[in-house]
Amino acid sequence: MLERILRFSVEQRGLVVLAVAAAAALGAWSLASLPIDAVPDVTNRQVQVTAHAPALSPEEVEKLVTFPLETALAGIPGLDYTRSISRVGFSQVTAVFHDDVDIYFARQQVAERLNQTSDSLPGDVSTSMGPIATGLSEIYMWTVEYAHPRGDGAEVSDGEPGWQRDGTYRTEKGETLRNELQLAAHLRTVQDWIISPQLTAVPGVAGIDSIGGYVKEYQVQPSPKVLASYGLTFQDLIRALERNNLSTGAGFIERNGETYIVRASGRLSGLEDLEDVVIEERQGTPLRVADVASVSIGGAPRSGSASENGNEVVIGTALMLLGENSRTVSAAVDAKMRQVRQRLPPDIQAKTVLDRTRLVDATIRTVRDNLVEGALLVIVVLFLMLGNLRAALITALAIPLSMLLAAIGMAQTKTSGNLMSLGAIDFGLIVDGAVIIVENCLRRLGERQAQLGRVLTREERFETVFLASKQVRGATAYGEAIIITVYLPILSLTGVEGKMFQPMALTVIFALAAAFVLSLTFVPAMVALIVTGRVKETENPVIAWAKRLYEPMLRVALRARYAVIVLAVVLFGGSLLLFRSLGSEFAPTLGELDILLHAIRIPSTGVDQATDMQRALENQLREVPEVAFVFSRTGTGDIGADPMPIYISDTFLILEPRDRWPNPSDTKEDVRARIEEIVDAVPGNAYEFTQPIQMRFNELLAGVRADLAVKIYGDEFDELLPVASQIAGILRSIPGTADVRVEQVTGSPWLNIEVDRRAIAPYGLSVADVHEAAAIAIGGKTAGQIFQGDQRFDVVVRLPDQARRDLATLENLPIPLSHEDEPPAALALGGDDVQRAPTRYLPLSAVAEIQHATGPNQISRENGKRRIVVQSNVRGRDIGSVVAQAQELVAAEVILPAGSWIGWGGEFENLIQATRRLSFIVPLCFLVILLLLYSTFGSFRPAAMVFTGVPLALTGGIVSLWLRDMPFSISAAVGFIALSGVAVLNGLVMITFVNQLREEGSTLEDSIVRGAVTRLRPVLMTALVASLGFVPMATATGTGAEVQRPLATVVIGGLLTSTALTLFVLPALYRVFSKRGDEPR
Amino acid sequence: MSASGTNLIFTVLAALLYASAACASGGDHHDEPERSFAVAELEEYGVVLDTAGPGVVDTGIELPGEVRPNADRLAHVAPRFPGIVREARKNTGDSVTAGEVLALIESENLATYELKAAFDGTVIDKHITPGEAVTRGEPAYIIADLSEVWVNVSAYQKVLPAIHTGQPVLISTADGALEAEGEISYIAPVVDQATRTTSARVVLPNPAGDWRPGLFVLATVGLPTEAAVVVPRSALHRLDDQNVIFVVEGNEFVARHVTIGAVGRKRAEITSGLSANERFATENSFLVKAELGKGSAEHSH
Repeated sequence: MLERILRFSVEQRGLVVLAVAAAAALGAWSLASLPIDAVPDVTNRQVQVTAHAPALSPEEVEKLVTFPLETALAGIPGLDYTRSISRVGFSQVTAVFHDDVDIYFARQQVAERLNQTSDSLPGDVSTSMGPIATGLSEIYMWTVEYAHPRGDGAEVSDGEPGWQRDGTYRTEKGETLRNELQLAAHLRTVQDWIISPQLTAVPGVAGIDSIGGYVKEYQVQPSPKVLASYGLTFQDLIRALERNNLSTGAGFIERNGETYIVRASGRLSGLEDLEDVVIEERQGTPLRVADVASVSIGGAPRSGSASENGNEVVIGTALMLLGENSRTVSAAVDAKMRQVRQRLPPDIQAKTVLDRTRLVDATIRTVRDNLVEGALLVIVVLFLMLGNLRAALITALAIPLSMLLAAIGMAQTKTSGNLMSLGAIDFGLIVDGAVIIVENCLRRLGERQAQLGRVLTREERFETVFLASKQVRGATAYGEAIIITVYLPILSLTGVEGKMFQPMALTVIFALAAAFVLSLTFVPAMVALIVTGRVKETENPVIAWAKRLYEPMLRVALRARYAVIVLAVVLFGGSLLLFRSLGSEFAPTLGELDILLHAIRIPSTGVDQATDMQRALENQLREVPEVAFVFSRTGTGDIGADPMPIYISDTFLILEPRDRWPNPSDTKEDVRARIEEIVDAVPGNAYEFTQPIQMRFNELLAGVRADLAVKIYGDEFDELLPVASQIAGILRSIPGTADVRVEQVTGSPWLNIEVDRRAIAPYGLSVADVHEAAAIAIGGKTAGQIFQGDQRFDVVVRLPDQARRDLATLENLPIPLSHEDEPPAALALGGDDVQRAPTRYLPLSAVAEIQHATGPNQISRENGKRRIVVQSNVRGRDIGSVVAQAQELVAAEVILPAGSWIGWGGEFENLIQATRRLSFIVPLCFLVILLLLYSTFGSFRPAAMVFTGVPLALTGGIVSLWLRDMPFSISAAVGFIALSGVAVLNGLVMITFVNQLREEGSTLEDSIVRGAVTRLRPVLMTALVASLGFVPMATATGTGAEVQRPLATVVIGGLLTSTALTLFVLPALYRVFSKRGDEPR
Repeated sequence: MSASGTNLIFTVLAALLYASAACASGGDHHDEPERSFAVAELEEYGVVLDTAGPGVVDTGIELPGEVRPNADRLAHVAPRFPGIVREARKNTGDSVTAGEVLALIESENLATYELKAAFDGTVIDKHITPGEAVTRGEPAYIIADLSEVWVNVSAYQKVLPAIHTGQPVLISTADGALEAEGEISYIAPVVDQATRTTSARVVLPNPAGDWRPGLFVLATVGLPTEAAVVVPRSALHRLDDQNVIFVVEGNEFVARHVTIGAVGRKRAEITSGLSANERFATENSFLVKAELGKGSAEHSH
C-alpha cells in the first residue's frame, strides 16, 4: 500500500505537487476563515434569562420572579441544570444545557417557556434572554467620554452646543447640563442612542453591553412636605403627569377631496413642559408641578459604573456572536466605530480601549514567527548536515504545508485556532518524517552516484528515491502513527479540560496526519523532481567528525552495556523523584499585553462610594509611567452576562509599549510589583491581579473553582447556615483539606420598614398606602416618557437624592392621609374651628418601625432550590479518599432540616470521571503503540526496546523543567508527549536499520555499530531540528510565548537524553536482548 | 519495561488533571500580611476626624402645623340692627385701632350707626359692600390682632406621650425660609375623630407679620437635648449587627461597639463605648470600615 503510494508519487510527481499546491490553497483559505482567538472557548451551552423587577428586594425577586422562571424552565429537553441569582430588582436564571444541544433550539425552548410564564410574573417585570454569546465574546471595548473633562481647555462658544463659558455643557437638543450627574447621563445617552444602535447592526455582533454614566431620566422631585401642605399625594402628581403627556390619533377627515390625518398632540418635550403641568386648580389658581417639585435631568439608580483615568465615563462592549471569528468581527466593529466617530456631539469622543484584534494579531504573529524561524532553522540545519540546499528547502516546506493542511481539518471540525491549538505544535516533530526520508534519499543518491561514478539518469534517480523512501517510510509511518496515538487520550477528556485541550490535540493530530501524507507523497515527489545534479557523496565535516567521535564511544557503551542500562534506569528513577518536587499548574499563564486588577471592597459598598474609591485608585494608577491609561468597570452593566456585584471593580491597566517604559528592560512582573505597592497604599480595597483574558478564563471556571463543593439545598438560609458551618467544621477536621470556606449568603445591610398594622388602623390607612409612599419616595415611579426623536426617556417621580440618603428624612417621610372633602384651609377661621389642626399626613416613623438588619444581598439557587456552598480544596492527599471520608462523616453526623438535602460536586467529579476514563484509555493507547511497534518488527522484544524510549526521553525534560524552575503544566505535558514520539521514532528507525543489516547477514555487533553510525546523521538532525527550532520559543517573550516556553524547554532538554538514548542505550539494550543466533525476520 | 512507561504517562496525565484542579482553585489571592493604614493616610483619602464631647442632640419630633390667628385676639364685627350699608371705610388688610370706625350702616329707622373696631388689629375679612342690606348678627368684618399668632400643631397618637405643655418647639416653614422658637402652651384635651390627631398650640409673636395665618409650617417638638458625648450620625456604622464607631487608638482606627442614646436628625448621643475627647472618623468613615473589612472581601460571583 505505502509502496504503491510512494511509487505513484515519484512517477506522477508533477501531479502530486500540483495537488499539494491546490490543497495548500484550500488550507490557506480555511486558515483565513478559521475562528481565531487567544484561548479556547470553554463556556458551556447556556441560555441566560435576565429579569428586571424594579425596586424589589432580593427575597421578593426570588419569590415573585426567579422561582416562576425556574419552574418554567424545568424539564426542557437537553437541560442539564439551572442556577440563578436574585438581587435587588434583578434576577438572572442561567439554564445550562448539555454540550450536544443546539443553542438555537435551546433558546427557542426557553423563549417558549418564557412566553407561557409571563402571566405569572408581576406586571412591571420585564424578562429578556442574554445574547447568543460566550465568555470570550467581549471582543471590543470603548469608552465614551468628554475630550475635555469639565471643559478645561475646550473651545468655548456660548450658545453653541458644547462647553459653555460658565462650565456647563449645552447639548444638541439645547439642554444645559450643570452637574457631574447630568454630564455622565449625557455620555450614556450618546452611547445608548447614537453609538450602540449603529454597532448592533454590525454582522457577527450579538449585542452591545453598556455600563457607566446614568440612564437619563426626567426627574420630578417633589418636596414631600410641600406636597403634603397642599394635601396632595405622590399619586396625584403621577396622575397629573401621565394625563398631560399624551398623543392621540383621531383618525382622518376628508376635506376638499384631500385626506387630512388628525392628530391630537400633547406630548411633553422637556423640562419647561414638565414644570408647567397643572396638577390641580385651586379656587382659580392653577397648581403647577413646579410649585411642588423641582424638575431636572437626572439619572436612574444604577448597578454599575465606569471610569477612566479618574473620570466617570461610559464603557461599551461589543459582544461577539457564538462561533464567529473574533478577528473579523472586531475589525468590522472597529471600521464601524471609525464611521460613528465622525458624527458625535461636540467634545465627546469614543475611544477604543480594548480590541481583540490586537491580541489575536499578536498571537498569529507569534505562531507565524515560529513557523518562519522554524523553517529557517530547519533549512540551516539541514543544509549544514546534508550539504544540499534544495533538499533542505523541501524538508522545510513540510512545515507550512502541513500547517495549511491541518487548517483544512480544523475548519472542517470547527476547531478554533488559538494559542493552545496553534501554539503547542512542535514543528520539529512535524518535519521529522520528512527529515528522515530526505536524509535517506540523499544518502542513497550519493551512494548510488559514488557507486556508478556519474550523475544519475532520471529513471535511476526516481528508482533510488523510491527505494530510499521505502526503506525508512515503513518505520516513520509507524512512528507517526504512534505519536498520533499518544495524543488520543486527550480527545477523551470532557468538560472544561476537554474543551481546552481537544482543539490542541486535534490540531496536532491534523498536522501530523498532514505531515505523514506529505512525507509519503510530496516529499519524495519533490526530491525526485528537484534534487538533480550531483549529490555530494562525501559527508560534510560536521557529520564526519561526529561519526569519528561516536563510533568509539558506541563501542565502549556496548562493552559496558549493563552499566549503561543501569545508569539509564537510575537517571530515570532520579528524574521521577525530581518530578514530584515540581510544582504544577493548569496551563502556563499567558502573558497578555495588559494587566487587570480586581479591586474588591466590602459587600455593603454602595455604587457611588465604590465609584469614588475606584476613581481615587485610578488617579494613583495613571501616574505609573508604564501605564498608558486605566479604565474600570464597577458592578454590572446592562446585559449582565457576568453579574458582578457592585463592590468589585475590574480595573484594566493598558500598558505602554515596552520601548516607552522608563526602563524597557523591566519585566512585566516588575511593573506589576510596583503597581501593587502603589495600590496597597490606597485604602479600602483588597486586590487581585490578573489579566483581561485570564480573568474571563477564571470566571468561566468559577463554577468549578474548588476541588470539593458541598452544596446544601433547602428553603431557609437560617436553617441551612448552621448545617453549612457544621459541614465546614467536619471538612476542616479531615486531613488533606485546605481553604474550607462557607459561602457568604448574608452580610448586606438592610433597612426594614415594618408597617405597624395597629398604628395605621385609626387613620384608615392600608399597608399598601404606606408601601406605595415609601416605594415612590425611595425607588421612584415612572410617570410616562418624553420623546426626543428616537430617543425616549422616562419621567420619574422620586425624592431628591439628598433626601433619599438622609435617614432622618426617611423617618419623616410623609404618609398622606386620605382627605375626605376637607374644607380648604384658607380662612375658615370661625371660633369652633380653632382646635382643628392641619393633619394631612403622618411621618413614616409614626406608622412603621424602621429597623436596621443584615440580610442577603444576593440569593443563589440551583435546580430550583436555595443553596449554600461549602467549598474546600484538597492538598497532599488524593481527593477520592477525602471525599469518601467526608461523605461518611457528614452522613453520620449532620442532621438536615426537613426538606433539605446535600449535593456533592466540584472539580473532584470531573477528576474522578476523567481519571476513570484515562485509566482505561491510556493503557489502551500504550497497548496500541506496542501493537504498532510489534507489527513493525514482528516480534515483541524490539518493540519493547523501542518503547523504553518513552520513559528515558522524559528524564531530560523533567531535569530541564527543574533547571528553569518551571512548574509542570499542560504545555509541558504536550512537550513530553512530543518527546516520546521523537524517541520512539528515532528508535524505530534505528532498530529497523540494524535489523535490515542483520538480515543482510552482518554480525550482531557489527550490525549495531554500522546501523547506529549510519543513523547518526538523521538522529542528530531530528534532534537538532527540533531543539534548535525550539530555542527561539524557549526564550521568546512575545504574546503567547509563556504557553510555548515549557513545551520548548521540555523538548530541548528531553532531546538531549532522547538522543543519548537512541545513540547509546538503545544499542546497548539491543546488544543485551538480542542473542547472536536470534534471527530477525 | 513497557509497564514503567505506561505508569509514567499515566502519572503525567493524571497529574495534568490534578494540576488543573489545583490551579483553578488557587487564583491570585494575596496571602501577605495585611498592610495597616495609619490615621493620617486615611485622612488623605478624605476621612474626616472629629472629637467626641458634650453637645446638643437635635432630637425632636417633626409635626405638621398651620398658622392661625390668635383666637383670643380675633373679633367678628357684626351690625347690631338690620340695615343698608352706607359706607365701608376699611378694607381687608387695613390696620385699625381700637374704636376706629369701620363702616356706617343705616338702620331700618334711617338712623345711621357706626361699626367700630374692638381693639387694635388688622382687618382680615370683610363681608359688606355699600348698599348691601345686612341683617343682624351676620359678621361684617373680622378683625384680628396679628401681633401674635397661634400655630396649631397636629400630634398623632404615637407622639402624644412625648409632648407636654411648656415644651420648646421650633417652628419653620417647609422651605426653611422662616424660623421661630416657641413653646407648647396648650394641648387639646380631645382627639379629632376624623384625623385621630390632637391639636397642640404654640403662640408665636408676629411683629413683622411674616407668620401669616394659613401658612403651613413644620413644628419640631422637643428642642436639642444636651448630652455628654455626642457624635454626628455619619460616624455611626453597623458591623455584625452592632453599632460601631471607628475610633482613633494610637495611630490606627479601631471599630468600637457603642450604645446609642438619643438620636437627632444629624447627631446622636453615645451613652457607652466612647468617652469625651476621643477622636473618631465622621465624613467618609465608610472608607475606614472598608479598610478594616477588606480582609474578608472576597471575589465571588
